[in-house]
Amino acid sequence: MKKRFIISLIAVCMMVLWGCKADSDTSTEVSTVSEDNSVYLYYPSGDSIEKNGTPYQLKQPDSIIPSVEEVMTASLENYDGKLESYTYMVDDDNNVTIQIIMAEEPTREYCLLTMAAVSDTLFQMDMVQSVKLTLVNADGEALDSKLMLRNTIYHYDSASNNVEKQLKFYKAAKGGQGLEGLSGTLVLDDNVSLAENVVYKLEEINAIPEDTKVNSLHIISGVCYLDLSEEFLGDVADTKSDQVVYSVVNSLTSLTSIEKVKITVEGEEIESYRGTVDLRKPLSFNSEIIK
Amino acid sequence: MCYDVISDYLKERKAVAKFKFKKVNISLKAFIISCIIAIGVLIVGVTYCVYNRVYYREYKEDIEKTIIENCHMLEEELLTNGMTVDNPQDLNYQIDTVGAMLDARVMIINGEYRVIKDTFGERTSSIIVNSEVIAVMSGNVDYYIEEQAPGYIRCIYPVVGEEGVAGVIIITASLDEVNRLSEGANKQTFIFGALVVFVCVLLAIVIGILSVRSMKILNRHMEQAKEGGFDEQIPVQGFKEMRALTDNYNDTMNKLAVLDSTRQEFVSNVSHELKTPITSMKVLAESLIQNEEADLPMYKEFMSDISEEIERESKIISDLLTLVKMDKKSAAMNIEEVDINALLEIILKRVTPIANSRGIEITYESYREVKAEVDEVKLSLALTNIIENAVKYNVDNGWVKVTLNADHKNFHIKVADSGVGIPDDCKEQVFERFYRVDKARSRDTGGTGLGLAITKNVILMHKGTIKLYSESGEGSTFTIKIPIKRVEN
Repeated sequence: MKKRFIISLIAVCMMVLWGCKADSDTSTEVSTVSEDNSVYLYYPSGDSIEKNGTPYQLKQPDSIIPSVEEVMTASLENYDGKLESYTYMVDDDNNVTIQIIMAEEPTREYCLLTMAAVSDTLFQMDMVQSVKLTLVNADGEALDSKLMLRNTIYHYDSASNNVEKQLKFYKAAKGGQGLEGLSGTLVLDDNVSLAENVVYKLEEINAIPEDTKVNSLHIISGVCYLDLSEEFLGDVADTKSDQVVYSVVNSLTSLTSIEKVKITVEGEEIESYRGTVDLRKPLSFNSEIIK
Repeated sequence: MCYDVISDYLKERKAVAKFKFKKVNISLKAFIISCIIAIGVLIVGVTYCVYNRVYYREYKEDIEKTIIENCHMLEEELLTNGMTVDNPQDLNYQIDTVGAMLDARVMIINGEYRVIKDTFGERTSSIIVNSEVIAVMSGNVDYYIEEQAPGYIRCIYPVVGEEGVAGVIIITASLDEVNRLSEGANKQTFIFGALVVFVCVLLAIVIGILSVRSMKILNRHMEQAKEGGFDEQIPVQGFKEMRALTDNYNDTMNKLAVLDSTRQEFVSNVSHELKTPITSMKVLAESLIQNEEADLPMYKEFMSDISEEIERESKIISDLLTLVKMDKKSAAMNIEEVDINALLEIILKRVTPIANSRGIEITYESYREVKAEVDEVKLSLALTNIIENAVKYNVDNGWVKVTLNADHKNFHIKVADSGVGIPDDCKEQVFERFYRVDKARSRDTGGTGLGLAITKNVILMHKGTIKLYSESGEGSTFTIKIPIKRVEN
């Protein structure tokens, strides 16, 4: 019990450290526990991971410790004996620490897929906050160790990536002065950047002129170079120029990868947007305009 | 019951009729124009499709090449920098620039499958799980580059260091630019294609009009010919085929004009020949009426002359009927195997008394027995005409020599006489109807002027030939050649 507590403490400390470094992205990539309290068991298969056709029914869905044990025990059957055993620990904040002993020396890729499979399986349970996974060989030597949050595993080019992400947008406040913040969701796409989708979302909520199109959008060293179509120069009812421009700038700079936004129209630099806002230089987040 | 049978029969007829091709009255001009336009459109369509495919493929290959080159450049930079992007800062900038230049998302993955750079800024620090990335990272595949639907091309390229694959570069480039350029090219090709089709249509109309113009002229002339205008000639011009057609038309019209002239001449001759005996009869009858002192012997003499004229008239009509019957293409030939020797002997037997009365000697020489497939009645008529002429137009105490010979194919009859002969300028016409070398003498001998015409027709109906050799004052020789076996067309 004491040993479990110490491991749990170490895990929490590591999690705090990793949490500070990790992306604030809160998207989820795997399914959550369904209404009938069942979870899919993921396992490595070739160069990818697969899930069991029949979901596993949790016996004590309200309790994290037995659920983790049940799921891990059931999962072992899918590994064809490559996983010898496991130990686990769950702290008070529902951070799970698991050590898996591999029966044979695995490849780097098998370690990756095992970690992804365990992560995907456990994160279906909403109560799991993080998973610290360590793979060791039969001699007890650590092969790989990773602390995983819900968005750590990125299933590239997979339908499971098309998950919604909660974001903050800015549009002209109803009173006619300044901007107001709104919360909204966007679907992550492998091929279209989140920033580009943000601009289209602004058009959808009438924060920028109708029919405005993104000709190109590139983020270079934290500066978002945004080239818009000429429709951007049009009017938006009851909206001032600075409200239009900063709804774009503030919404984009809310993304972690963007610090400034440089706006051009049809590839041409605009001295001032409708004679009021200077667009010659990249613009930063403007907190003063927010009501 | 009866109704059912009729109904079934009608259904059957209807079903059979479905398989019959409809005769559609299509204009040649419309057909030519349609064909040229269809061919033009087909060529333009195929060229359009092929050109656009090639254009798109070439642009795509260019992009693929550029992506690979950039991957290689980044690979070297990453290896130099120990698979990190943070230091120096310009590598981070370089990766962003590559992303901007290619309008692409660039991700750098280290050996632990962790995303160390994402130009979209969304997946940095994530652990990537993808079968293609794993395949490249584990060295099983050199690299991946393939088109991703819709409108993206993806390259997964390994960063290969001294100790193997140290990471991978993923570049996902948009094909928007290619599509935009391709659309531009499509538009240009379409405009060019439309122009070519327009020119095709114009050309088709011109060619269509030119190709039927000569035909229209020919048709107009034929319409005129229908009304009896055989004399007009169409100027020979246009394409080779039309010139040949016009030539043939002009020849046919010439022949028709000759035939028309011959017909008119024949009608005139017939009228004249039929009128002559009637005129004689009228004169004789009027003489008797006006001569109040005419006695019985005079009456008898005049009536005898009138009877002779009636007989002549009757013979002319009979000969004309014979000719008309032979002229008909469908004139029936009663072909049978005939002993030509026997036939000639019978004819000679019939003519001999006339010859004897004038002291003319008839000799017959047969070199072999000849049996041939002929119409006995018609041939007998023809040969009788020839031999009778040889006697009639002979001198008193003259001679007629008839010979019969044959080879394996034809039999030959030669009739030679010691008569007055036929002048050179008349040889061509002797076979024409109502033609007489010596009109007065012919009438005296009871000739109608149709005998040789009938003879020639009969010989031709037997697929044979008749030739005349004659010298004025030295007699004439007719040679006839007829096939032994009847040859149908």
